[in-house]
Amino acid sequence: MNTNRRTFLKGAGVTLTLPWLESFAAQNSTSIPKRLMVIGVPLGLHKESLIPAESGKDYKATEYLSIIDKFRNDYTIISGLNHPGVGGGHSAQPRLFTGQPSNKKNVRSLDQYVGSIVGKNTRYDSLVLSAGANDFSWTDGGSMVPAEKRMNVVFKKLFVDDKADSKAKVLAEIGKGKSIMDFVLDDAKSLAPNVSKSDQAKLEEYYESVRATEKQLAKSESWVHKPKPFVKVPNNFKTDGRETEIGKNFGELCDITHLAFQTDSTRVVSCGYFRQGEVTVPGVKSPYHSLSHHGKDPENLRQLRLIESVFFKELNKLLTKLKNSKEGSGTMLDNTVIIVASNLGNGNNHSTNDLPVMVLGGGFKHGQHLAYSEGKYPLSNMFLSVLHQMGIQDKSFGVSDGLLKGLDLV
Amino acid sequence: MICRMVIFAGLFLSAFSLNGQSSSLPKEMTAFLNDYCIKCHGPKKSKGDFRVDKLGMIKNVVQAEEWQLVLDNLHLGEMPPEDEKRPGIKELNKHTEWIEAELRKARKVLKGHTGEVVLRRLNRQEYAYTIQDIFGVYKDVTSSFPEDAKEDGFSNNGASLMLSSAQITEYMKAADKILKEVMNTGHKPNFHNVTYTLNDKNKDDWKRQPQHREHKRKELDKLPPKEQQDFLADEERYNKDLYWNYVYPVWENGRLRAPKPDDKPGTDYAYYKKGFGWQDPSPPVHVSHAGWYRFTITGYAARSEGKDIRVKAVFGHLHNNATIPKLAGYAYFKPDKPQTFTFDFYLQNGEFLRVVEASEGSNWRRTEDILKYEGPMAIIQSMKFEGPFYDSWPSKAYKNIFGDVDLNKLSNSTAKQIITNIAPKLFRRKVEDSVIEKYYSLYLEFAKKEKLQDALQATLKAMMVSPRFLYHYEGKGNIDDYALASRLSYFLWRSTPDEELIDLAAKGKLKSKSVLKAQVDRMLKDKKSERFVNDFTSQWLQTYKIGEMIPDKKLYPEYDPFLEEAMKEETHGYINEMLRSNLPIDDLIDSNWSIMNERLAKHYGIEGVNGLHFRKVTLDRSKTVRGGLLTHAAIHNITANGTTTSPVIRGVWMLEHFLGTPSPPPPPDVPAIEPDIRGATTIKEQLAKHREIETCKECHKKIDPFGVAMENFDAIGAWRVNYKALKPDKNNRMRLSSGKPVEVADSIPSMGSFGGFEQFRSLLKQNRKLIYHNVAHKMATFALGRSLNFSDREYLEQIVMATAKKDKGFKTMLYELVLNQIFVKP
Repeated sequence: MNTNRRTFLKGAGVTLTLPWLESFAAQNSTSIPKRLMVIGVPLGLHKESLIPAESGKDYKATEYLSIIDKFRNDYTIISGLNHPGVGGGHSAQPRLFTGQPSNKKNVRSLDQYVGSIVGKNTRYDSLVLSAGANDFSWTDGGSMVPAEKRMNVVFKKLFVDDKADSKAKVLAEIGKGKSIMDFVLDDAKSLAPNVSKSDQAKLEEYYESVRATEKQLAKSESWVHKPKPFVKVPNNFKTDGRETEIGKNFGELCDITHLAFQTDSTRVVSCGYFRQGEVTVPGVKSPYHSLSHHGKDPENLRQLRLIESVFFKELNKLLTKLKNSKEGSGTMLDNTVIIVASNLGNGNNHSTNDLPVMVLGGGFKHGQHLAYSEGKYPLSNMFLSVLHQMGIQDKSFGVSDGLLKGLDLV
Repeated sequence: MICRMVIFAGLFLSAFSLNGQSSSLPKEMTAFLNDYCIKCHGPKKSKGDFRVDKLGMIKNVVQAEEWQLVLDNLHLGEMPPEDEKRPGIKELNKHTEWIEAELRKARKVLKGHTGEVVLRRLNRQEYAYTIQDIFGVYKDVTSSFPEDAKEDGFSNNGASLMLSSAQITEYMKAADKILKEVMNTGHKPNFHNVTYTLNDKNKDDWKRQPQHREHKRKELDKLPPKEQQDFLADEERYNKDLYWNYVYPVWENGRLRAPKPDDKPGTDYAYYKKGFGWQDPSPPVHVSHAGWYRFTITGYAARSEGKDIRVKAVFGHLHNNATIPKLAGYAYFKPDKPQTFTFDFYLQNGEFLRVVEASEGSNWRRTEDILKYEGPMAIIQSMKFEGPFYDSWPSKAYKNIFGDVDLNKLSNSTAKQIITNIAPKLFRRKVEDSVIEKYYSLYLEFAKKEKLQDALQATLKAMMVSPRFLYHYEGKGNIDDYALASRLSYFLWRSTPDEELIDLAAKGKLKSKSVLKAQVDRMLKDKKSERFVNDFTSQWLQTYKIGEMIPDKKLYPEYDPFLEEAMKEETHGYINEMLRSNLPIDDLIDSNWSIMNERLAKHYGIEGVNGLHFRKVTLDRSKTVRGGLLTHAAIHNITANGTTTSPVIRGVWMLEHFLGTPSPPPPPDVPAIEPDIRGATTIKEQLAKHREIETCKECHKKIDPFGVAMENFDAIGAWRVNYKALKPDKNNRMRLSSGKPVEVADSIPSMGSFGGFEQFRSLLKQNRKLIYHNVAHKMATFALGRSLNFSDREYLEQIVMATAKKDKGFKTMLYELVLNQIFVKP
């Protein structure tokens, strides 16, 4: 076991202290957590460079897929899905992981929903991160969850313990916070007789948010007493991350995700890969967003493909890390579902049909290109399949009308 | 016949809520619909997802909206389409009158069923302004708040302003930060007052030289050979003259010379740099307290051929490339005549100030090339940095909240006094004793375990996350004077009502029209009304999008930050001028003036505008097409994607933001047109193809012409006759060249045809009523923080008519809005 442990740690490039290790040692394969990472790429992915011409198993790897070709049997590339009733180019962004039609109020996103269920026993229900943008995570009430761009802050949140005196302070603050929540809930209720019907609904939303905050506070209170896992990686994440360094930022985000999963600090991560303006990618001169409107210009396309290749290179690194992390009889990748998707099927005209979608890891039967005829199935079907794989046996999600045919379990 | 029907319908409507009677239409109306509409909007085809056979007598708001749609389309002549059978004018009028009468009655009956202001949360901007005005805290506490959703283009819509636990958590954090700052009873922070020159930057570098050189000597063999050689040559010069290396030269007797360490104060230094970088001078002080600071700079322009030179000073977390610097101010240096400029700005913790660029000058130069420079320069004689400034200590805001109470000697009774004092300020109304008692008992609860100051802070924090503070609470039924004070002040100041408004509300005087009008007058004179101009304009016209789509450098090499800023300045300045001078709303369509500086005028090809400041410019219409909002580069920029312009996007912008007649979204199964800039086809040819598709045709023939009309304006608002194209030269490098000619002629079903932009603008003048309506509509939407619907039409019509009857002024319309029933109804 000792050797095993060391091998694992070496592979991961991380040393962990006992609390987690013991729980790791005690784990049998059935208690290995299932995890989810959702990645939104809001400017689309150039179709000809991503989607293979052939469907099924014997497809020829495209430019992007050849970057992650080592993992050919660990992912499925999907074409032809869309979100019915979702349109409007960039305004489709918030609906990418919710599947809600554009004319309806947005509701909870896949990651937040999964987090609320599988996150009960981890320090954080989910991590909402961003390499440039993330307006993909939404609460039940239709509020956007703010994303964290600074990975050094996330690192601290996950791995750096508060000192004893500040711990006492934190606990006192939480205590006060709970009293305040209790109090304002009561105060809000006293307003209720004096508001109109439509205002009543707004007050309900207030109650709900306050109660959720109370729950959050109670959860953090219980976790303050537990030491944070120690990882032997220094927090050398940049404090002044240049926003233009889109690849580096996404790479750091993936590193943190890997660490968070390894230490079971959370089981759900959502993030986005995006930049409106200029990006620091060798050979790229024009702003990312204008490149996405490439107008079929070969020079624009060349630059765009460089930016998108960087994404796949970083994804490749993450897949490598997850695959090298042994877990039970398999690898961490087998227990982690990664979804990569865009709200744009075509960046050039910002169309929201035929979305580029990938499912990686997580114990599905992979190694194929699932090519559906355009618009036949909603993307929500894939979300439902993922929910089932996570052990959440719901009947539907978003606008799903069943599980996604062809995406089967091992 | 019609008359009888109307009476019948009226009776029917007034009883509608009691039972679900038959909803069939009068025979004549059904016949009309069957004759002209049902072919495309019936069981066989239902274009635009609209079916007239489903129309019934008006029973609810949804049905009323449907009829309103029918009426609008008939009125605008958009339906039936030109190529279909159309009713004669008499027949048409008979039926539109019937619909109008029905809608009028429905409005009366349905009043109160819709169109009420929903309990709305302070949005991010309102929160920040409210905190500034109550606490005097300018610290940025809202940047981590989740973004507010927009509805109808505005981010203050009550129904779509959501709340979540993430938001509550952020409110708690923000309250702590604010209270910590405002409850600071420590010593007054040290006051900095330093005068410095550009030579301080040189001296700073000279001081570092020995260490820097030693380090480099050690690493020398690791450098590439070329750099080794350069360094050795540099060493030789250094050994001869310790001060040979510098950034800023001296300007003396009309020439440049190298600076010396012992140059006396009063020496002039040349800031020759156009770009910015690490050499930019900062004040030689460490700022450890957030607060108001002042920067004073004295200088003039040299060798500028009579032109002004603008020097820009910015502040922010400038060592961090991830943040955007904020503007402290521009100094406009006049040729050869020294002048002093002063900027006040609020520095957050960790922020500092820098002078970053001059509008004329050279790129960064190596020391040996500096003295060879012969172009224009800004000459800086001296700079001064002072602060932090406090109106008094403790601050005015401290006194406003805590009165004469010394927080270090807080007692339960003074704590109660503070709670009593601050509650009406935070809750924007008189607060009942029972509520005060509740908060006081919370304080007592905290005081059992905490220091009294901490207990008070926690109590104030509870007040700041209470719905009484976070929401515009207006009670039930007709709004009271306090709610009116808040509506007014969040409309025009985007912030909390001041003492005068609250006093008037307490006395019950605010609803008097003369008082209300006087208050609007007073509020518009206040500097805080600039917040209205900026927030309203940027959301109404979407100018907040300027700079989001950075134009392609190859296609638009002339685009720079100066132009970007000038674009925004023009449009915001335009609306500001219309408001302040009460100019007619027609000026939105066309005018003989605009707000410009030299940079923008140059961009437009307008002569005689010298200098960098923005001013009102009278336009010679025989020489320029400019005039009216639609010629503003800002508008052209935000409706382009940085590379190409799309008439569809511009058309949609026109309909939504300028005319206020939005088109329905495209059906989901139709592909959007895919731009192709390889020069093979023009956008107009592509659009024509698009319009051949049956499903697209109906809507796009209404949308596209509005955008086509503006095709002569490129993605950054310059006038073009040919498209720009990129073609490879003989070395296969992409070069800018002239593409296909721009085609502008088109026709709009409801307005007529046009051969160019100017004709198009004339057509718009004939349809000015739409634009009057739209401005009233947008202003009311923003003022009330809710979506408007058919039951508000009557009020909007009153506002428009009253404005048109008076002087047609923009400000007049604002008055008419505030004095209208719509502004005070629930």
